[in-house]
Amino acid sequence: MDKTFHFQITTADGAIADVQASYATVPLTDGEAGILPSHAAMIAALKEGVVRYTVEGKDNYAAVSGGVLSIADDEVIILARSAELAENIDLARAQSAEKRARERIESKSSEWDMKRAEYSLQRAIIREKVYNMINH
Amino acid sequence: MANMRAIRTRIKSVKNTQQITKAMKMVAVSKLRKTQAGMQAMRPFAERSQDVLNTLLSGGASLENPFITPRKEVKKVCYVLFVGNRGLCGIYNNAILHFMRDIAGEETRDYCLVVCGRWGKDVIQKTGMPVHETFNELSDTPNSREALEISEYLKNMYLTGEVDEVHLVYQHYVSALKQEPVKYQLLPAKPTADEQKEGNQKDFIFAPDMDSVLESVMRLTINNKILSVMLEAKCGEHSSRMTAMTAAADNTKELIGKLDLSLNRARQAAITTEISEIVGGAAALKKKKK
Repeated sequence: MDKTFHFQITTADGAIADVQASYATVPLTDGEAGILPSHAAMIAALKEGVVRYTVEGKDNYAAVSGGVLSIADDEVIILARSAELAENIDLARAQSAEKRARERIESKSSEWDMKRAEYSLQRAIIREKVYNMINH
Repeated sequence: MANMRAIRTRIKSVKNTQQITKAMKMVAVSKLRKTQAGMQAMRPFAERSQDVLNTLLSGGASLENPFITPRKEVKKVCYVLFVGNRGLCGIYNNAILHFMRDIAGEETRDYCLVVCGRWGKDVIQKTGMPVHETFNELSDTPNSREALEISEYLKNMYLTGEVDEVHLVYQHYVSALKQEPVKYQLLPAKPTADEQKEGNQKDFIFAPDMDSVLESVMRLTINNKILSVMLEAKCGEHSSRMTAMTAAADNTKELIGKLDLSLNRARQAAITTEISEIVGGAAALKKKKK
């Protein structure tokens, strides 16, 4: 199958991926979804999770933390709150973020801090997961 | 001559100042460039989010969203004041503080301040405005991570009902030589559709539904706004520091010229006195011989 679509992951700091992909999976709020070329026009909310996209038969991974997905005319654009490609993830930083978040959750401070800590814990775990995907 | 020595020391110190101001100008120039690059980088992202928002609005989204719906009763207002990280940038900081004080003076409702930037802790405190929180760890070239931190904080403050309106007060970047203090209402947001782009009508699938997509888009839009304001404010700070330092460097040049002149004069005067002393002495000796 050589049909491809334009696939882009952008954050406020600029595009981190801008490729012709043949397949992609994205974490929608109601579950993982796969995208093939000629997908119907769609706008969807994304939750934090792993984005996988296939370029010339090779799988690539990125960690995103929420955002919006827009598909129109074989243009797939992820507008992410923040995103990192697997090869750019700093494992040590993700691990320390995870540790920090766990400590904060155990200390049981105010409700808001808890929510935030849970959120950053989730993100750290996803980052680690993505990192392990390409390094094992 | 003591006078000459004093002038020489003075010239030396002015030269040192000149070096410092020149260096600060260079630093400001490079930081300005970086910040401008950041502005460029975020533009496509902002445009895309606006596109999605346009589609939603033209698709007849209900616009019932906690970020959009105004509160019936506004009890407390939050002003987010963007100042620089340090001084030496002309009237930049003072102008925005002055503007903020004017707003505060007219504000009849309860209000609080969130300050972004390291400058003027004492000055702001002296004005008597209630500072709720200060973000003073912001870098000189803002990135999305810093913007997210502030943005999450503000969104939370708004959603928990601690405040009912959030306004941003910052220096709008008109050009490198001109900045204008402005106020912008961040929350509740007033999303507007671009009129021109409404030809792009398609049947979009919304997943899971329009409201949650709107929520996500609004979150992105708010983050974007914060980042763009941070970038704009920083651009203004750097460029006004650049201008101030250029002026300072020019002034030192002028001052050095003047000091050089008076040094030469002093030296000339010293030589003249010396010669006339010698001549006077010789004449006295001649008289004695006679």
